[in-house]
Amino acid sequence: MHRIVIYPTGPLAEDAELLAAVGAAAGLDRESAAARLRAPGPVYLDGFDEAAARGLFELLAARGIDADLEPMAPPAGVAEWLRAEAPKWVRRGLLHPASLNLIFGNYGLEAPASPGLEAAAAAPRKAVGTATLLRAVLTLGAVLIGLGLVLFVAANWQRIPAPVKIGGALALTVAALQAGAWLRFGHRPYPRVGAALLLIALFGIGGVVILIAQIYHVQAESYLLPLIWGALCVPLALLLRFPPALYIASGLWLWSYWLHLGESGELPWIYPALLLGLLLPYALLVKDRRFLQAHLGILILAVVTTLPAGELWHCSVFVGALVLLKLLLREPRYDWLLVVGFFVWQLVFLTEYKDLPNVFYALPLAYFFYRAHESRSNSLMIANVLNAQFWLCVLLFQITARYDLGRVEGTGVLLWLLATGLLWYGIGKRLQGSPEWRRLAGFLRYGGPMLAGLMVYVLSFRFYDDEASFYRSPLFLATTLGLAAVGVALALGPVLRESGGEGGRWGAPLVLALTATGLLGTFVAPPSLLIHALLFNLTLFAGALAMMLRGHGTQNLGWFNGGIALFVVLIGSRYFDTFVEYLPRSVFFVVGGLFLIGWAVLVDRQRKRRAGRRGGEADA
Amino acid sequence: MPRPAIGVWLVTAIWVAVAGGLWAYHDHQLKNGREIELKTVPVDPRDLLRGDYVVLAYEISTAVATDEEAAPWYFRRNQVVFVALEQRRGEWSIAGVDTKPPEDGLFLRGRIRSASESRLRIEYGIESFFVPEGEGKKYEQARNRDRLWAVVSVSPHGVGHLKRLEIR
Repeated sequence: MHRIVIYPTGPLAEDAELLAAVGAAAGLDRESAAARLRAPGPVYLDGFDEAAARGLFELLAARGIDADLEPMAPPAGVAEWLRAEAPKWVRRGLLHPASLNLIFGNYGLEAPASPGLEAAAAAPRKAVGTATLLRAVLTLGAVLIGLGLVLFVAANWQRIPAPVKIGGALALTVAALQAGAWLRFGHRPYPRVGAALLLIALFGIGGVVILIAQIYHVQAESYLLPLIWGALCVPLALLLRFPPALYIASGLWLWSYWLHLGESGELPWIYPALLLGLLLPYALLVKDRRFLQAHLGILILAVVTTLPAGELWHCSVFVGALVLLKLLLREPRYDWLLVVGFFVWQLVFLTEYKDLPNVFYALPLAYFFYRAHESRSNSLMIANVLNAQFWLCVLLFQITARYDLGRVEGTGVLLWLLATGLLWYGIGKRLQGSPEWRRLAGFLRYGGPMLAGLMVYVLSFRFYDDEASFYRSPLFLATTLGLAAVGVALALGPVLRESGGEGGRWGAPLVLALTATGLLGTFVAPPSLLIHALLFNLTLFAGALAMMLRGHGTQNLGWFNGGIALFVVLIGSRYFDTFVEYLPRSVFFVVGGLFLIGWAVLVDRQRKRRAGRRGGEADA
Repeated sequence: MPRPAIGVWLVTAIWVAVAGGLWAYHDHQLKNGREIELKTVPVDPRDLLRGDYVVLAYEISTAVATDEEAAPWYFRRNQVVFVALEQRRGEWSIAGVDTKPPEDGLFLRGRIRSASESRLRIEYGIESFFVPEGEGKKYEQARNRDRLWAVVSVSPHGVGHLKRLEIR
């Protein structure tokens, strides 16, 4: 047996066709089917044979309703494996016993009973142990004392002579260091208190350096201070195996990197050298996985720092380190950090080499597509689509500029984005039945028309009527037409298939045809004739009308209200569109109004005629 | 890895040596340099670590194109330069700017911070004077009355160290 789980995003019970289909498939009357669909949370429809379940699932998919189709029970082998493994997950603290019962219940299975499981259920796991609490409080206390020391220095209290201040601060620091080491490694060790004292000593030595710099008026905001302070943290980390010192050193050196950038507008090589030559190799040597993980974040900060400086070499080195860490740590979720790192790298490349086409970026991009496909990650795939779109647009700009292939004008980019919207829509329509790419399909199916619609709206104004407005760049022309053609070709099949259904879904094919014709109009007809502007206006009004009709046909208030809102925006835009003279605008409004009234009268007459026929049949 | 007992004494030695070295270097530079007095133009911002300080600009912080051998297009940002100084009517001013130290006479080592078509802005590392909290105002008032002077110690290598500010 199979079941369908629906994740409702709107009022499903108002959809007459859906109610009928659910009722027929599940053997429910209209009232019971409506009650099931109105239930809060995911809607479970159980007990179908596979063919009935698939038929209903396809109907849901065609309407863009998020749903799962699945067997009601897992295969015998999987159920056995689950029964054997799940108690281990509970005992290891990976899964709460209550969740275990819910998961087994979801598949119609009884949760396995075991003494360990019952004990785990009886005694809920402590999220924070006493040792963790102690460590956190001691660390916070040490940081507060350390910051207090730095603030004391900043107060610049001048009643104490400079030598006494420096000597006193150094003596206190050394005392904290010695006491910390004694408590951490002595015969009766208090490692946590010792660690807190070592932390205070680290702040203390920084305070001494700052004090000397203050007394001798060393340049303010100097990058040298955190650099020296960080260097003094390193011996403590290496000689006493005190890892927090390395974290502090790393943070201080990154700060020094920023200060140098602020001071001179340039990035010094000493930070990458210390980070990649000392800190990360040391962490690898002692297998400090947590330090390496933390440095994925630090590396992202370093990569972003290279953007205002436009330092491609620095950026490349940091991104290379990111790749290396990702390979070593083997965590799929770090793909996202690579995406961010390479995206910034691309921006830095663009800043430094404005006209050099960045073909190198195709390699990481291809890898990200491969990763998204391999892990079936919808969100990564969506990020890749946006990333690829940006890269392609920039690449076309760079090629046009470098090889002197005309001039890229604003309208060229608008049309290119319009074609992109069509392509997204086409791909989204092709993917709409795929259960594993549901979110991606949804993004492309709705995001594509929104992007294209926005561009059509901008181009529906008359100010793009100059002969020089369109296609001064053959490269943009070719790719615009190419992307649009592929998009229309991909969308055409599914759109035409859906248009044949009951309720006459002609809206999508009409809007698609008008958009494509408008786009082609910019190419074949001189802009001054404004054929494209007329077609784009028709596209928008047809779109608004189609949304209203779809809302009416499916009893979906969202579509209906969306259509009305678009209509209002369009009427307002055209009314206040001072680029067009009064008379043509007057004719446009009157003709539009007549068309709408005529169409409504026609629909009303058809409705009455149908009602009359049904009455006649009933009488007969 | 050394035993913790040795390690902790090594860390202590490194810290004392570095802190002592920094202290001794600055003290030596301050005490053994040649003292000069420069006219200043202050404001009072705040350093994140070291508290209030007075930003100082000097007449010698700007070299204009009319100064001989200080043609701005010859230099680039962040370049190290050596500024020859001469005393005119009791005040120190720029005698020349070069990338090499002059063979004789007093000079300051600085770094180009900006180079426009007509002028160079040079920093000497003596532009910050740290004061107790809230005391920057008195230097601001002295600046407004054109009465603030900086006493700077210049080492034989041209490194300047700010000794004190004087209100005259």
